[in-house]
Amino acid sequence: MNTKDVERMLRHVIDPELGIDIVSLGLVYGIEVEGDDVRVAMTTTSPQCPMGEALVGMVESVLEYGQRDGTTSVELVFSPPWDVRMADIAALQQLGLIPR
Amino acid sequence: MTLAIAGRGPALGLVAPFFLAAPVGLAGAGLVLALSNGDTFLAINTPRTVALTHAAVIGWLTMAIFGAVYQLGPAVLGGRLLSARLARVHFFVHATVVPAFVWTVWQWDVRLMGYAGAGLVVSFVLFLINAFPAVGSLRRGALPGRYLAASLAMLAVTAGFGITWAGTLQHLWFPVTMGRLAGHAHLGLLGWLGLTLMGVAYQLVPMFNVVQRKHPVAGGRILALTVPAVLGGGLVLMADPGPWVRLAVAAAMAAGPGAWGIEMLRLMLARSRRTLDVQGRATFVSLGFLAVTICLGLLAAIGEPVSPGHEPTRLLLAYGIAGVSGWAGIMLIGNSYKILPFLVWYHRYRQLAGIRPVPVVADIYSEGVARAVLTVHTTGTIVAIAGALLGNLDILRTAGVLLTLGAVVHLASLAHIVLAPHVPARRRVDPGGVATR
Repeated sequence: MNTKDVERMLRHVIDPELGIDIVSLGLVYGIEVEGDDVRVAMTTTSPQCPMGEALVGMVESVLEYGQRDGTTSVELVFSPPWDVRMADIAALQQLGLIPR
Repeated sequence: MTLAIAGRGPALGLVAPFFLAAPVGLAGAGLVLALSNGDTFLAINTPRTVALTHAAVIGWLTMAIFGAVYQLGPAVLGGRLLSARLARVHFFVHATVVPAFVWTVWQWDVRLMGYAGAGLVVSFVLFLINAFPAVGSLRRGALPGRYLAASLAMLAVTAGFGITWAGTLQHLWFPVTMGRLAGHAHLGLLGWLGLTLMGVAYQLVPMFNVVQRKHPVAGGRILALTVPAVLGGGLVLMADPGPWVRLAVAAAMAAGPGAWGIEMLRLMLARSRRTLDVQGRATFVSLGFLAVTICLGLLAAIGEPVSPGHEPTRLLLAYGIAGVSGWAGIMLIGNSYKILPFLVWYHRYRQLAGIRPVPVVADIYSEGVARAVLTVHTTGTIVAIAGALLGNLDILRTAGVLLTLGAVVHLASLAHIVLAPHVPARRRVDPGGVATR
């Protein structure tokens, strides 16, 4: 497993409000893979968002569902604060910020 | 992640009944409006108009706000409920007492009105016991919590005056003048409902609409301006002042909500989520009604010289409808389609999210039906304002029918959200792309 595999798995974590996956939204700040151990640093669109805990749970579920033997560590970080410019083009299109 | 409501809140079964019962209150208010008679334009304190006001304010808006506070306090503001069981008891007390109170007002049975009014006070006390801890442990400086704490205090003051007025109607301690009614009404409408909605909007509007480039800058000052204006203004109104004092009070009371409206508009225009859903649309429509409410309120303060047909009651009626049904009501309807679907998502689908396809929030409610509710309710409100200003009973009754229809569809829609199984829309996940429908 490499970072690309993890990123592909994290694309299945959909923000339930926006309907956009967290990778496309730019919420995933970093992925580290050492053997079977995975560490993910991620954020939320707002520091006040109380769903951070639930999002972390969703990421852990996805990674653990991937049938790995290693450990999973997900850290919620707020520096730098998320900005919509971190989202990719398709996400910006879905948000209506740029034309499809 | 933009959601404002989370799992530290109480169970769906505790919160949902408040949201489901609220449209029943709206339907009741709509029916009362549909049954308006010739007295409606004679005075603002006729039994039917007072019944209409209380059905809308405590049966509909307050009922939904109770549910929202029980959820948002623990989930967003970091507070806690003293007792979930107490909240359930509170629901049954409020749901029982409100129809009884509205009926006694409709019948103008002052003796029973006193008993039902006492029941209402019990309901508010039960709520406040839970609500203060729910918002009491808020982070210092958090705007929504400060607004909610102020609004809870205003609810206590409003209820105190309300039960006093009910008591004096029975025992004739002193006359319940138009000024005293106006003071009570403004403490309730602006102090309780207004401050609650303003505070909650500071939390929900930026989150749901992904507002980041702009931040609220005046929320604290607006609160500091509004609380003394409402409290002082309400007390001054109770002294039945002349038109110029009323106008000064109206201007002072309008300043805070007006500044808040401008701030919300600024935030909405800076949103990153450009595609508007029903909550975003409702926010814009509600802000429009706020502007109308302020204009009508200032005119109503002047009174007879600027009233259509020189009948101040028509202006007062239009002002009340714009504020209650337009500003507060539409804001609440819009947020219902966020709070309730998310609660359902959280309690039913969160554990499965990421493992198997689950609905997102937008799959849990029908955007089309929600927009239809918003459209019918907005139309009904505009027609009601027009009917009041024109002094036309038929138009006013038509508005009542429209509002009732909107309430029934709203109730069905909310019931579907809570009760029906939900199917995820078909999405694909593109490597390098987004999950799309």
